[in-house]
Amino acid sequence: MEVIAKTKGLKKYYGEGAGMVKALDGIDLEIEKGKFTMIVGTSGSGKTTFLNLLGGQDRPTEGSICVESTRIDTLPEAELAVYRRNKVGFIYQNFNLIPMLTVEENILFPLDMGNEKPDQDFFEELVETLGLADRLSALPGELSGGQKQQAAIARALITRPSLVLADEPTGNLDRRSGQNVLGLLKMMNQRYHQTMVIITHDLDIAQTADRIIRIEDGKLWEGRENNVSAGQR
Amino acid sequence: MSVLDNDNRVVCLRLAQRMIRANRVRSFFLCLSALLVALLYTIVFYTSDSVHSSYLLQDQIEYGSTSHIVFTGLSQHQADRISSCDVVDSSVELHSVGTLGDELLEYRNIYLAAADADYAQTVSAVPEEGHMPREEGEIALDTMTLDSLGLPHRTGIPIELNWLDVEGKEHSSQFILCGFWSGENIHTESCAWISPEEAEKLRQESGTGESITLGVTLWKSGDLNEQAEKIITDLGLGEVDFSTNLSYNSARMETADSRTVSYLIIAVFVMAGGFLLIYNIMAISLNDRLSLLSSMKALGMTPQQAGLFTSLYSLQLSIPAVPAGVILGFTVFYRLAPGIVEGYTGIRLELGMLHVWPAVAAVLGAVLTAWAGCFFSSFRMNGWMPARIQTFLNQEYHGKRRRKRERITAWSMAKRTLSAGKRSFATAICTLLLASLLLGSSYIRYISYDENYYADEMYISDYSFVDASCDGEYQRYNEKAGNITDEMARKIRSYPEVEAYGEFLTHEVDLMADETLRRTVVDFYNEIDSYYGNMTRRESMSSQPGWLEGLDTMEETGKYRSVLVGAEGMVMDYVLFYDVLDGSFDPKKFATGNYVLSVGASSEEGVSSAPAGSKVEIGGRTFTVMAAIAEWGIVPAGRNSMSAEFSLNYVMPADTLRELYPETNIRQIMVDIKDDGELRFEEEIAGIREDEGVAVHSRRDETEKFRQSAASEVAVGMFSGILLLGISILGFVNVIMTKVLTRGREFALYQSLGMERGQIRKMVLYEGLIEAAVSLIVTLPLAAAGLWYGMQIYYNSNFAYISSNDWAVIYEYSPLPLVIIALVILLLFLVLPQIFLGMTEQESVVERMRYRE
Amino acid sequence: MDAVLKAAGLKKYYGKGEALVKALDGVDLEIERGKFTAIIGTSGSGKSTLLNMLGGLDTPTEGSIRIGNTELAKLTSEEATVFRRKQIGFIFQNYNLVPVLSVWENIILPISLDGRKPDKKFIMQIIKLLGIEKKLDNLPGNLSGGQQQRVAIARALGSKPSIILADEPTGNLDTRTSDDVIGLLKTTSQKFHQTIVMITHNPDIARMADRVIHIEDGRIVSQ
Repeated sequence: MEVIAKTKGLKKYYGEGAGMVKALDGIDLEIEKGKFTMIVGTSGSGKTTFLNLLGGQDRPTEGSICVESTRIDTLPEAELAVYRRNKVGFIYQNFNLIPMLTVEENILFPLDMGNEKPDQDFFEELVETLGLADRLSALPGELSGGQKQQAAIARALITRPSLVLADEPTGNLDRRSGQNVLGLLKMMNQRYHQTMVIITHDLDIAQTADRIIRIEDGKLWEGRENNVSAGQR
Repeated sequence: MSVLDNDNRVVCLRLAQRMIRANRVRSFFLCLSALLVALLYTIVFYTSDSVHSSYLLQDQIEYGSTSHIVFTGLSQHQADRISSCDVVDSSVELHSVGTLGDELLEYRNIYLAAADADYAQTVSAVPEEGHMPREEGEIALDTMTLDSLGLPHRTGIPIELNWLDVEGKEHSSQFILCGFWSGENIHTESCAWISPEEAEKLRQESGTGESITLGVTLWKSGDLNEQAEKIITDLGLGEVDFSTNLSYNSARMETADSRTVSYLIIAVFVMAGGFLLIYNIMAISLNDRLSLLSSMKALGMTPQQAGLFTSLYSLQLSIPAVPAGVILGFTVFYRLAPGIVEGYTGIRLELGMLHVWPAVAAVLGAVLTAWAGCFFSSFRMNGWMPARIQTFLNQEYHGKRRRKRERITAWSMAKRTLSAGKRSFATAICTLLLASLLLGSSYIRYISYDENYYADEMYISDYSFVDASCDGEYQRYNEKAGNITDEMARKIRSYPEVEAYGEFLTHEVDLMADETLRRTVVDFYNEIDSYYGNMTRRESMSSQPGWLEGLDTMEETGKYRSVLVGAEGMVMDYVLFYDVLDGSFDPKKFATGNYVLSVGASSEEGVSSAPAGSKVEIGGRTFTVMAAIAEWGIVPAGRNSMSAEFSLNYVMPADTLRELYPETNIRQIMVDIKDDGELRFEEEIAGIREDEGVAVHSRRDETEKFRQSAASEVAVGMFSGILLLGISILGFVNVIMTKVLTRGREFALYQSLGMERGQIRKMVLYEGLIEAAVSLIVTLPLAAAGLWYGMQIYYNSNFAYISSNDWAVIYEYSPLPLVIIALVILLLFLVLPQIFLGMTEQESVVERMRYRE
Repeated sequence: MDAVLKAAGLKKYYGKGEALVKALDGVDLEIERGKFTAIIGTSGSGKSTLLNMLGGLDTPTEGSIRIGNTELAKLTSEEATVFRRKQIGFIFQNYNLVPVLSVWENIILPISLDGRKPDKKFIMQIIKLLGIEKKLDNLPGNLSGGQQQRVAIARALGSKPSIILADEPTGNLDTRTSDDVIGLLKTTSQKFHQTIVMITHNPDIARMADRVIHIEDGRIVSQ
């Protein structure tokens, strides 16, 4: 088992005194490379916070995060931006496409920021697989929810990042599109061996996950691998 | 920082371009703002440039030559050597035979010289009518010389001139006038051109050499005195006289600089206003851009790229806007400025007086201001974590616990919603304050210029007719010129519009002082006057040898020069303006012609002329001195002879003077006109105005000029203030627009809870009222107080008294501009929100409540 | 059944052509007075759209909705607004309290807008029941999610509407608070004979209601 990301004693606190909120209260976790990991938990449990920290979107109050032997919690913002650009592919619930760029430009955005040229074959393959071939010059405003998420997935994968992180990727989609998206993610994981960490409510996908992690009240809830019982939520 | 080497700059440009296109309204507003700022900067800078050039040009005109250094009394050899010096760019030569020596021209130096068109150019002595002398016997003169000599402005007239050669011997020659030009009142030097052959002939006759005046223009215009000295020492020329051009004189240049500084202060206002406006516009759309920024940072944009993105955004907008603003600004300037500049300095503005630096400065200033406004509105967020930006965007409203429980009405809701958008509101208020101060101060300055005060001090009568020979500061009155004929005087006097009429006649004579007079005057001047420290009055005049000579002569021999003044009618009022030092004035007795008034040396206490009651013998008659009055200044116009530097003058009725000396001419006429008679009077004297022998001054002309000059003084300030006001209004429009337009969701919520449209309208109306009240309460009292104290300080300092008309000021405070501003703001805040509210109600409640992508 | 609300043949379509979305595709529904009804469906099933229809916040492309004797689809925007504040109470997923008003002021807002005087005795009863009597002068920003939702409930109840519509009321709350809130809704429904319609995607929550209606792909699949 090769570990690609590791957190130790990860804490994130907001505010202070009586009004302090402990979003994460000490997470020790190892993410295996190439595996499809699912994170579940109720609303406000801290899973989004965890994913944000893993993806370099925020800094922990305490604790360390190591991704591919780099301590990212101590990186200055500029280098952290480069980390986000090259090493992380983030997929959001509300897609977060840049409204003024075309689909193609959105997909290539992380590469553009780093002045890198795309691998043309890989790009075409991704686009083909995700069914975006005839939408490359459209603006996000012209796409349906499902199509937007497909573009976001392509964007997340184009840099062949160490980690693909998805926060409720199907949250704003109808059932069919949502199923489609999750299927695509699973396929990407199998085809390109991308390490994926997904937050989702959808229990159907739990069947196919390599590992399920449950976070409640900012702490890890011991979860059993690949086994979700009916009584558990 | 090797990891950042890969940062892509081009993508930032692409994003900036897209963002501009994505939000056209905002981009348009920003473009417009950049354009306005560039326009304002251009106007301010070019005005200061032209004012600066005008002052220097004024100095140059005063100096009398465009050359940098003028060497006098050179030989040809010396002149050639200097001309061929390395530091000399070009030179012009004046070969003079001598100077005109007529007594009437004694206050001016007029060189009799061989016609030289190049030199003539540099001293503005090129004939405007007729031509330069070509043949022997021809002469070209300036009009002031003609006036002093009592000659008409007509080519072809014969002239006999006395002149002195370079060794000082007197000669007399005949000439025919072949050309003339308008002389400048402030020029004490001029030329009388004759043909080179004529010059040669005269030189032969007088048996002297020529004296060459050399005007040189150097490559470098700095340190003229040093350069001149260096030339002289380098060439080993010995004792050579020279003078340097006033307009390059460092003291003069400093004065010119300091006068134009006040315009640059306006530029600071512009900078602040422009920055605030653009900052305002950017701050309002902050939340949108922060969302975008958060997304882009999440995807890997570094803080440096983020900063570059913002900078490129502002640059992209500036590129079309700024040049357009500069061109527009220059056009406006060129239309408005000439009048302003002329009113301010008396010089006609010409394109050649302008430079390139104002345009460059305006471009740089506008680009920088636009950039600063964009950049600083969000720059501290460039370094934030994406999550922190999200938290900032989602932050909840935190306020104090409320004590009372109010009933919810449109009014109470309106009060609560004020807290949003504080930053942009504050910047718009700041700009409003600036605009108020600028407009208020300009207005106060304008109304404080009191033209009646000016006119009353400068001109005591509505009209003044002056003999041309004494119309200039350096012109000695030619008693024989007689341009104001008796018939003319009779005509003027007879016009029905004339309310009051007065005449001045003067005649210079030598008189003998009796013992009393001698004693009185000498004692007066031998007294020690504490005003001068421990000196006697005589000692205090040590810098005027001519005057001292006159006093000495009187003391030793009793002989003294006197200017007899015949005064009639309203001019007597003027004469009696000044203090009576001895005796008292009785008009009836005075009119008998047996009395004179003796004019004292000063207005101090003590008699410095013939005391009241003493007797004076003039022209064979004996007069009694009725009173001794203090010396006066302005009138009559022109100068008396140099011999009258020390003189004891007497005032008598005009007819009396005519009796004593029948050939005395009228020197000056003064009239007052009935209030509504001006137009007719102007028609009647139209002929006299055109006559070159009589100079006509009207109080109305002068007050017109004064008013224009006052207007020019404040024009730039006013204009900038108005533009700043426009900027602040734009800022408020922006605040209002955004405050209403971005609350579509909030209004939808209220509607979903049951608030009717009418109730929402009322709430928005109250909001507008409160915001207007806040803006005005914050700005206006501050502005009013600032003006109240600031303008008083201004008028008590030296800054207020820079230009020549600044003494004619009676400080008047008026908050009128502030009242107008208040009305405008009130209108804005009451009307605009309702308009924008109408725009938000286009979509349904549900649509508006849905989160936007 | 004593039906306080009747919906027939409700359709809501967005867009056209290739991008046509059929949010509601023919819904027939009756809500019984005084009962706590849950409408369950997954994301995108059309449940939110349905709720908006029922509350008069949106107009159907086709179909009719009657509350009492009033046909909602026939009302103008202004009439719907007034009807809403008298007859319908809303509880949103994100509470939607007015941030600049205190808790008390938020609760009486719909009543104030109607120009009526609040029935203080009744409202205090609700407030005590919901356990927020100590927070009346606080601003929403100073309260936790659960507390804010309780305020929203009080607001909905305060004007004694014909029907209360709750859109995923526990969506932003943790498990324990969710259970609390649903319990409260159930209690108030029984105690005050208040008709409550709640939509949710969570079957466990839905189970706590008196009646569950399933909606999927814009249609009712079971009642």
